Amino acid sequence: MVIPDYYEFGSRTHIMAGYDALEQIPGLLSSMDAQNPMVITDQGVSRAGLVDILLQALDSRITIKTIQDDVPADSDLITVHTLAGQYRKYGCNAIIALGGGSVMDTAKGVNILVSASSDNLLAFSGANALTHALNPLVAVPTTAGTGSEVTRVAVISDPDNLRKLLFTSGFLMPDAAVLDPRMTLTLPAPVTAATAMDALSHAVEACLCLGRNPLSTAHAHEAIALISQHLLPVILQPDHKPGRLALATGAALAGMAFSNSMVGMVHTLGHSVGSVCHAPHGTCMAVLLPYGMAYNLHKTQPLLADLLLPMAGADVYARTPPADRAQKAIDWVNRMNQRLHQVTAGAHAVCLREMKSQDGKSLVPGHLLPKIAHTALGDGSIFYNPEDLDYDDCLMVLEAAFNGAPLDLSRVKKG
Amino acid sequence: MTALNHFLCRTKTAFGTHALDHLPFDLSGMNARKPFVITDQAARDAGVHMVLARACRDTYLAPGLATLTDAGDFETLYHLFVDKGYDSIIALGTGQVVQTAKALNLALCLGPERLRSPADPGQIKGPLLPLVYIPTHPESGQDTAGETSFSGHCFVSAHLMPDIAVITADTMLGTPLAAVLDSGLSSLAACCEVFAFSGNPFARSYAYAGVCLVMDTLLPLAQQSDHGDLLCQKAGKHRRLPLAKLTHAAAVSGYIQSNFPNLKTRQAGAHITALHPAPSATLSSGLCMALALVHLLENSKDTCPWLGKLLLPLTDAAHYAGVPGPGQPDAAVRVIRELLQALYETLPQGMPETFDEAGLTPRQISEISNLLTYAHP
Amino acid sequence: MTDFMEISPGRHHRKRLYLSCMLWFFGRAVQAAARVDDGVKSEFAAMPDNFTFCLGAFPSGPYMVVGKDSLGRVRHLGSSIADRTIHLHMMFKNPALLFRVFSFQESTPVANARNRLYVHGDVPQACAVVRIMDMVQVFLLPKFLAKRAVKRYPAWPLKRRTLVRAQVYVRAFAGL
Ligand SMILES: [Fe+2]
Repeated sequence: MVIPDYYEFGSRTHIMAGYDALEQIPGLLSSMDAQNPMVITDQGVSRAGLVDILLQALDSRITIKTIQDDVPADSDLITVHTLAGQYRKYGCNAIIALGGGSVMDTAKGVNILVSASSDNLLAFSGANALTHALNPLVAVPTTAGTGSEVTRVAVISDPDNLRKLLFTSGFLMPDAAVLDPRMTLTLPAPVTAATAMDALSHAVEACLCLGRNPLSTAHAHEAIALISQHLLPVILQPDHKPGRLALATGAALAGMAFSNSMVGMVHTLGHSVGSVCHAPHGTCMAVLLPYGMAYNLHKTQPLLADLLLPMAGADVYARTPPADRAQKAIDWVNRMNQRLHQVTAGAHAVCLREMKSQDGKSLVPGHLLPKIAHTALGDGSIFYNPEDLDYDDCLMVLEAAFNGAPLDLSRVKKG
Repeated sequence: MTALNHFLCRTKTAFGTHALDHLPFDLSGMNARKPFVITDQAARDAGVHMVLARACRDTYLAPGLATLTDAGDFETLYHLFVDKGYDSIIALGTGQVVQTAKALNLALCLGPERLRSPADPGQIKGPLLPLVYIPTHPESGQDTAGETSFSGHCFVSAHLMPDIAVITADTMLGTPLAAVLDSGLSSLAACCEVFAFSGNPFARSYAYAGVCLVMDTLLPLAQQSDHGDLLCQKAGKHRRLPLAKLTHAAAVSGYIQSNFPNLKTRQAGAHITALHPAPSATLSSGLCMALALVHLLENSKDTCPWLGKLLLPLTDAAHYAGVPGPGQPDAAVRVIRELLQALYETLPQGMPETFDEAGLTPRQISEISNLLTYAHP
Repeated sequence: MTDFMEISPGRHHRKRLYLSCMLWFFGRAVQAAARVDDGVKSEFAAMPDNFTFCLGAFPSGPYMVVGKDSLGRVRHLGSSIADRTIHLHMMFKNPALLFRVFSFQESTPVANARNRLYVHGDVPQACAVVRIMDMVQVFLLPKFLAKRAVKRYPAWPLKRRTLVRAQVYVRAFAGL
């Protein structure tokens, strides 16, 4: 085991994963003396009937003071301030965040304001701006992907100033993450595929990027094994509870891994495609993941080779000659994308050109690639990537990913 | 996976060179400006507190340093802390130092009278004051677990886990080989048991790292020692780094024991130690746990679904994948046996390799054997 | 009886002096590179006017402050952050960690990967500042050191490696 000279690993969220995990919430909240939670969620979640399932699982120990289901797709300052007002108005003392990444980020933002009795979220951005534990926050993810239920960050947009605010603190980790397969049973296949590939990209990047360490790698390998074994079966049989639970668990493990190791260029480029083109994060990750692995191949060969074991299993690993294992891991991700493309009847894109919005319009027009490459240079994750990237490098990778062409490794500058 | 997997580790692990240099920043992130350092005479004599002091140079921190001399001075600590207005605790040391630090934290947050009667886990509501743990040698995992015992009472709560465990070669002290073996084997047993018998992926991830750390360091350390003499007291970094890694493994086993309070190997270890009124250096609780582990694995070779996978952290990916599935459980047990055998050879006074050799009667062995079985779903 | 004492960690005067000198020269070199090198110039051009950033150590320095004035000129503003609005802080968590980087024991990318740095301010601007510092390091350091200080040693054209580098050095010493 290779141990870096120095590393940190911490994940203080209490994990509850199981078929009746929701039923644990009353006990969790009482142990924190917080019986009056506010539920924060969004319209999609509430329409899918997940709020009802949650309410049924709670018991008389808990009095839900209010259910707020207006969180937009991109968490923003106004929503955070409004919800903080509601929290105070109803006299809540805890938050149950039920949803995906945006709901989690919003809930974290609200929790900052109500815990510090403040009306100015801006005062809490930046390192060590939070120095006290926040009020109880229970995260119930309804997708198996972002890992926000265990991460220490919240991204909240400030539409007035056209910027995204980044909040980072150990105190932003939710007190508990409740992973219950009932929350993801009805997720449509393309969303299941995209979010799981997001989680897979978290795990893979956690193993490759410069912040990697033995504990994050152990979590990431476990995540990769769970996602690899269960993703295709779950797409084929969406109501398979053990598979759903395995994917939710994999996503949380991947979240714990990358929250401590950070991520690399797959996210650098993926965030930028997302912010320039408003393309869904998970799909961007799925398309870009094999490119990020290939680009870093010369710097991370043994690490990539190690990934083949949790991805493809012991037999394939043993059969593959050691020198070919890294490339085989990249091929495995490519093939996974192609299989997902097949089983979702083409809804899962395998290149940027193919990404379509719901009304069938192309999401990532080719002429925006230079703008995306430029945006990528301003994403913090770029510094954790094993190999350096300048504008030309970003553009080269984006062009290959746009057309679904293999990356020309001879054009990767090796310094 | 089983019906409900839960896992909680409140501690952030900070491992490696110059780890203490991060401490002023991390403390300020917990609003702690006046840390109260508790240490023991051995650490004080070796000047470990100076390493901490150096890390605080050019920062605002001015820690107070209390050196434990005997167990009866808890009141003094309590009053020093309160009177001088400290706001956080640093346990610089292992064992007694950490138990005292945790008890002090309870006394400060819940009132000193709370320590006079046992408490339910649920009664200790957090968060307590920031607690930083800086070990000076490998231990049995109790330090990072969410428990402490004070004047005969045991207190259990995840809030007792340290906020940060700073594990660095810079604070490692000379340690008798027997203590190193005790720690390494008890970490190995705890981590292997969880990895082989629990389907909880969160615990398995920590356990995986714990097993790797022990396998990387324990045997080389034992082979380097001069016939059981103190390790690294005068030697340089090359011994302190593996000691730090072994301490890291012990911390990880503490996180695991916090979540799995009823580990079979630990119960059997306690049982055997109780049978021997004066545990000798050759039969430490760590060794008992390791012997119990071998026994436990042998007992469940055919029923435990994850036992074969244990070969992966015990060796490496190439080795693991090279052994066909049905042969993996046997191979895993063999690796542990071989490790014990190799450790045995490094010790001049020897080391029992079975319960029989450890001097247990057949009746006692069958008692322990009954403890060492798992019911499987 | 418990033995008790208060530790006063004090200051490390020699290391602080060394760091102050290095930061001072580095700041002047940033200012010089911003005048003569196109790469550094274009990174600064994308920043707003009246923008000030600092590189330093938690909790109280030393610091290097560089800013763009209202006319868009890049200037090294010394070592004090008092009475100034700093828009971007790039901070090492301990002066000892800053010292490790400025004594070439650890590169900035490695220190960053080891979580020894934190940034307070806008992330895209922080990225630009890191790229500027990388370029200035390549100008100032001999290749064997610069190779360790940056992630990928750049393949610069001959003129930039020689002529522009000489200009950066002369101007940094002269304070131009
Ligand atoms: Fe992601």
